[in-house]
Amino acid sequence: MLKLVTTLAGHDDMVWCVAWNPKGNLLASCGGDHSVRIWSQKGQNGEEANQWTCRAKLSDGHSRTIRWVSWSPCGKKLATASFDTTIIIWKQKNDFDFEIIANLEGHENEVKCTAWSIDGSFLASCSRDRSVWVWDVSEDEEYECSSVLTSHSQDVKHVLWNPHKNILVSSSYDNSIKMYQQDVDDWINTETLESHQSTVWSCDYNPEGTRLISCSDDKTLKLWKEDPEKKNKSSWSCYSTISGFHNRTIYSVKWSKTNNLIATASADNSIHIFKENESSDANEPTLLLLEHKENAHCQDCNCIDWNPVQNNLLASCSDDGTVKIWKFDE
Amino acid sequence: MEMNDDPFNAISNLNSDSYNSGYKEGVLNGKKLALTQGFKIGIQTSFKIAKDIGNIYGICSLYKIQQAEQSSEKIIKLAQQICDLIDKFDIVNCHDENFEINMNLIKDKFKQFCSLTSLKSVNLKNDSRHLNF
Repeated sequence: MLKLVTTLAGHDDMVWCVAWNPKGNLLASCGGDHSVRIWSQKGQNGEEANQWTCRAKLSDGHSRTIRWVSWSPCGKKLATASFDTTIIIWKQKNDFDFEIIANLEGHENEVKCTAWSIDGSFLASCSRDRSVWVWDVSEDEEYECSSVLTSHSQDVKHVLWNPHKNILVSSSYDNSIKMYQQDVDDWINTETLESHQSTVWSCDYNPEGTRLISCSDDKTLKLWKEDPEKKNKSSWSCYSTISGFHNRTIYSVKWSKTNNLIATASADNSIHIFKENESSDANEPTLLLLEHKENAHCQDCNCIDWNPVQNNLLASCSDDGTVKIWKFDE
Repeated sequence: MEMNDDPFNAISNLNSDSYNSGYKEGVLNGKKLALTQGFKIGIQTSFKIAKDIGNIYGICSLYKIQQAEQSSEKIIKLAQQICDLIDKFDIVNCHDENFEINMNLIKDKFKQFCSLTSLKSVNLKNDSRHLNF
């Protein structure tokens, strides 16, 4: 059962993205009001554990909508992607005080997403200008463009790193997913995953980084896996399509790294939670629906994120301007 | 009496005959107009491509000469790589299947060059007038 823990109001416009820090004690949200808000529990025990409060508002960086926020693996930095075409790196000075340490320019149009590699040595960004940029992150906080990749034919909606290797994944309005790897001192497109019938909005790896789930404007989820036997260019293939659960675009999918559950957020205002079917019977569905929360928000659910530490806790955000925290009990 | 000799036949076919001759004339005029328009678009497009590639080549060549001592090895290497790509790029043969791939690769490398050197990339921008999420 999916139980609402709290509703966080404060943003003055739609909320586009939510992201837990690696310790799972801070939640960042961003949106159309050009601000990032940092939320945390008032206390650890009793009544205060269920009360959340806004600890910081970062609003002096971007001049337009902030579309994405992501925490660095060390949990001390935030990367924000904005429609003002820039990426800002914020560094935590103390508990709830952040300062801007870098402003990355180069994208020609709205920046849609940012993602840190697992060791924090690379930052990826993607944009409506169809490009994916890989930035080298040096130890002294220098951010240098390592590669510009224009493999997609339309705007790129989402970027993601493999949880164990420096493999980058991008999803696009051109209905495809692409993978990139470093080749000497450049990055190259190594895989193109095609099966969705419309925009791929996001994707996520399983905890082992061996399989991928993607969600799309075609209202389906697709599961992908690598076939190491295949020697040709595309060794990743779709092995299952899950449809009939959402009746509008699925914007966000997250595969929990702690409990292996899969959560989806959709323009139909709902949140769904699935688990993998462990049966080896090919006639049985690949994913089993555990929870269907209709009207989780009053308007489109834009993003969802599992807490990386506290089992079964997840956050969602919406066009209705709110952030919600949920507890899922199986 | 033959059908063609019938004066009423010419009157009754007047509509379809006029349509046919009008159609032929329309095709000819359309071809002329399309050729003129296509030629103009071709000139505009090729002018823009050649101008962009020329700009990139000029900037990278100059950078290699002028900044060789002050710049990092990485940037000099990148400038050289861009010049090499342009040298190999068959700019005249737009029907080559790799034409767009090669052109985009040069532009991508130049964007990286601009980012590393803090140069503002000019005239390579896409249109961004409508709303998009």
